[in-house]
Amino acid sequence: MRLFDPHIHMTSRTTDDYQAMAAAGIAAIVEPAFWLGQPRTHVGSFEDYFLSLLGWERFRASQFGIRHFCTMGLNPKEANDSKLADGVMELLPIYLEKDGVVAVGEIGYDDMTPSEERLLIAQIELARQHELPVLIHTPHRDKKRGTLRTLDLLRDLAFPPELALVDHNNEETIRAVLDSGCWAGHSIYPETKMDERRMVEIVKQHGTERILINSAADWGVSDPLKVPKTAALMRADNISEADIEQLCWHNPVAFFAQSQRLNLDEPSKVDQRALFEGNSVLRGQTPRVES
Amino acid sequence: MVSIVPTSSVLQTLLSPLFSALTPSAQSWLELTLTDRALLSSRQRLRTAFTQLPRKLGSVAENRVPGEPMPCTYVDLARLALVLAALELQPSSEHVATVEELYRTGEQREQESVLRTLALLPEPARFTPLAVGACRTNSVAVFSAIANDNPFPAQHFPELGFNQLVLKAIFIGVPVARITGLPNRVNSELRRMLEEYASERRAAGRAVPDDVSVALALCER
Repeated sequence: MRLFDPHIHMTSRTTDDYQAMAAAGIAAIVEPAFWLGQPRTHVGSFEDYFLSLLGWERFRASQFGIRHFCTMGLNPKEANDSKLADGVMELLPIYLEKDGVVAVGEIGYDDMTPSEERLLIAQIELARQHELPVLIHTPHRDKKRGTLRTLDLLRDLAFPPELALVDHNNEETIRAVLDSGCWAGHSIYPETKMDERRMVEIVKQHGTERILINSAADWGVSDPLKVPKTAALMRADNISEADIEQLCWHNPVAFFAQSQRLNLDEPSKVDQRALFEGNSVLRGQTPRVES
Repeated sequence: MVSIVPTSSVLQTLLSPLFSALTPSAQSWLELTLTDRALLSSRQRLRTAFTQLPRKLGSVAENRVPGEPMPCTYVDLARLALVLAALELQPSSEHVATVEELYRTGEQREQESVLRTLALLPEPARFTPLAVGACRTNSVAVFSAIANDNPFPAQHFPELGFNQLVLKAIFIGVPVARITGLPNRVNSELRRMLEEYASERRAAGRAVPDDVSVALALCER
C-alpha cells in the first residue's frame, strides 16, 4: 500500500529518514512552510527557504523515490513580527503560483494575537485569489479555544470548508472540525499532540471521512515513520485495509488534488545519477538507478 | 569611584559590587569600555563588547551577584552597565532599536542577559514587545530568563501575553512558582485556559502537570 504523509518538514530531516520512509511505503509527502525553531529576522531568509522547498528539497525526495509537494505561507509564530510579516506577504503571491505548491500553509493561530489574526485573514484571502486550499495549524496552548476560533473565522469569511484542512486535532477538537465541514488532520507525535493508540480510537469513533494522519516531523523530537506505524497499529486492531488506505492515501490525495497541482501521474523512478544545480545527494556511493 | 559615562542611579548602585568582585585587569577593561564614547556609539563595537564581556571578566564572570533578587551573574550586571552606558549617549528614540538588536543578534546567553535586566532599563514598558516576543523562543534557558525570578512580565505584559507565558511555562516544565508577581496577575481567562488544558490532558489519558494545580490554586484565592 502506498502511503502519504501530508505534513512533514523534510528540510530538518536526514537522508536516512528518506530511505526509511521510502522503505516503509511512503510515496508522497507535503512539506508545509513553517518556522525553523528560531525566528528569522530578514525577509530574504524566507525567500531562500521557499526556494529550497521548491528546489533542493523536492530533488532530495526524488532521489529516494518520494514525490514532494509543499505549501507556502507565513506561520503564526513569525506573524507577530509585523515588519517581517508584511515583507513575506509581498513574496507570497509569487510563490503561491509555483508548480507543486498545493495549499497556503501552514497558517493559523499560535498565541491568538491581533497580528496573528490579521495575517491569517490576509492569507485565507490569498488562498481564494490563487484558488488553493488552506492548511491550518492549531495552537499548542489553549488549543480548543484556538480551534473553535479558527472555525468561526473560516465561517465568517465564507471560506469553503472543503478547502480547509485544520491540523493537530485531539479528542476535544475533532468533532467540531468535522461538523464544520473542514478536513481534520492528526499529528502523531512521540510525546505531545496525538499518539498511535489514541488515533486508532479516534478512527473507530469517527470513521475515515475527511480524516488525515501525519507525522508533522521536524527539527524537534518527532518520528517521520508515524504514518506507517499508525497504519500498522490500525491493521493489528482489525481496521480494514480499505479504511487504512482511505486515511493514509486517498484522503490526502483528495484534499490536495483540489489545488489542481497534485500531479501523481508519473511514478517517480529513482535515478541517483541526477544532479541539482551540480549537486548530488551522494557522497561517493554507487548511484541507484531504477529501470 | 571610577568616572564613567553612565550616570543613572540604577547603574551607580550596580557599579560598586561589580568592580569590587573583579580582578584589576578586568576592572581596567570594564572601565575603559564604559568610558569609551566611540565604542559606546558604534553598533558594531558595542555588539562586540557585549559578546566578549564574559571572557574579559575572568573567572568570576558567571558567579551569582550576592544580594540580587534575580539570578543575576556578574556577566548580566556588566552587560547591563554596558547597555545603560550606550543608551545614555543616544536619543531616547533609538533605545528600543539598540536593545532589540542586541537581543536579536545575541546567542542564547546574551539573550538571557538582555531579558534578565530588562526591568532596569529606562522606561522599561517600551521593551514589552521584545519581552513578549522572547516568550516564543524554543530555548528553555531563554524562556526561563524572562519567565522566572523576573519582575518584568508581571509589571508590563498585557493579559494575553501574561497568560500565554504561564501556559508555556507549564508546557515546558518551567516552574510557575518562580513567575514573579503571578499571584497578583491571575485572571478568569487564565483560569479557563488552565482548566481546559487539564481537561485536554485527561481526555488524552495523560497526567496533568502539578503546576496546573499550583496556578489554579492562585486563581482561586
